[in-house]
Amino acid sequence: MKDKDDIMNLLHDLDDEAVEEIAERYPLLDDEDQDRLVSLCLKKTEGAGCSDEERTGELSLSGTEQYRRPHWYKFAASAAAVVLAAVGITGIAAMNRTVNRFKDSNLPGAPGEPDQISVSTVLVTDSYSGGKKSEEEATKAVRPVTTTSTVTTTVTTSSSTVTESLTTTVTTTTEEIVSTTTTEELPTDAVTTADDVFTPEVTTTAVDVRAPIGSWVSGNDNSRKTWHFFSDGNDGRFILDDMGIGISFDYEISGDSITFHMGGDDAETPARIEWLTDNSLVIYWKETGAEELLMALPDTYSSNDNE
Amino acid sequence: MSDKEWAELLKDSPRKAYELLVSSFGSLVYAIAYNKLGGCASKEDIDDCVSDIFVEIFRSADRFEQNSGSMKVFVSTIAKRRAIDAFRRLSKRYSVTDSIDEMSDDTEFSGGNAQVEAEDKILQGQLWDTVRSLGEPDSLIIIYQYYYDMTIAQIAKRLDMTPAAVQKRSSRARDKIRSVLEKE
Repeated sequence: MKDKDDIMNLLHDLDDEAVEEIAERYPLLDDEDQDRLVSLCLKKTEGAGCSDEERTGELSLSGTEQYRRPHWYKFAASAAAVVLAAVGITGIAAMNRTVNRFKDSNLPGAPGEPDQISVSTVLVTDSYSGGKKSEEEATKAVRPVTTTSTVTTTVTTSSSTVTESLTTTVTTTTEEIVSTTTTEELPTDAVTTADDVFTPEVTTTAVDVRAPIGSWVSGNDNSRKTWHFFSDGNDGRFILDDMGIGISFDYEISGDSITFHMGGDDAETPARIEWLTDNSLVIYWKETGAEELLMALPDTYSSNDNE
Repeated sequence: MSDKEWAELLKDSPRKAYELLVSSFGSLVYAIAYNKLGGCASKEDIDDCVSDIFVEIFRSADRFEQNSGSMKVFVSTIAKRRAIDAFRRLSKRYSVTDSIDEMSDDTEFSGGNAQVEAEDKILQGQLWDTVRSLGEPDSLIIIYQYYYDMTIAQIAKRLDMTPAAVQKRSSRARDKIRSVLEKE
């Protein structure tokens, strides 16, 4: 027997009796595999146009799921609408205030115009008593929109011609919101202050890094490999002893993860390293399984030999 | 389940038929497929071949009734033929160098290779006897690893063992196989 490939070659093309024994003594399929195979067969049968009563059911049910809108969706959508309306209205208010302030600077002391600065205060404090307009007038404007202070600012800050149309719009919007009880949720969730800004905590955790520095052997007598992990903790060389071929590699270790870069190739070969004892370890290759490495005799391999 | 019941079932709905076929003969069909394709085909190719086999069994219901033979023989015959077809197809795709003629059911000797083939058959018989004598779970590990081409991690998961333990047992089993075969 030359190597383990011979086992694989000799263990195939067996006679019928041996194959039946393998099927009985060493069954391959578990329940999950069986379900997968049945599904695959059904797909092929249906794909070829086999007629059956179940066929329709299979096709219509496969991979489909009825979409259900999340419960919070309606509330979130309403809240988003209110926020957008508030932002838009506040923007208009701010723009008007700027325009009017510009007008005031050109025409100081113009009689009969509302004081824009005091109106702005109404916007923020939700109080109408401090405005230049009479309390009665402010209350009248506010009543239809009793729950949302932000909306009322439109009434007080807009010019006389625009006020009527805006007031109508805002009132309608607010009534809808109140009916869906969304305005109650807004203040605490929607407002974000500078103090609330999330600042991630940076913590450092010491990672146990143990490099397998030294020389190791793996495989059996027929296909032995030698692994040299150099003392710099980053480089190494791996030798196929029976073929006399050597391949250099870099590696990085973090915890029990080890990443190899073989033969100057930029591609990464990830693996996990598990120490069995101080003189033996197992490398679990992500793609090709596990490989046990044993510490070589010190007089056989030089741990710092780069070449 | 009697052969008559099988014949009735194959005329029934595909789902019922496939569920019973797969639970009764799934392992046998996979064993036959791996016997022909193991080592030269990917797992996906073998899955594809096995599903083709079951689809053909389902579609050949009339043929089974006419022949009125054993269901197991019927399944095995279709499985072997389909596996050989798949091997031929994959041989072209992957340029496998094995002779396709060697894969026919009725093996024909081809002159110069006859002695080598005969020696291989003897060695194969010895290997198979040795694997069977290993005992559980070592024989299971060797079959999963070298017959079904499973990785150490897959075997460990299936046998509820650690990969390191599977690796050690596999290594020991190989040593045992080697020592037995070298004595012969």
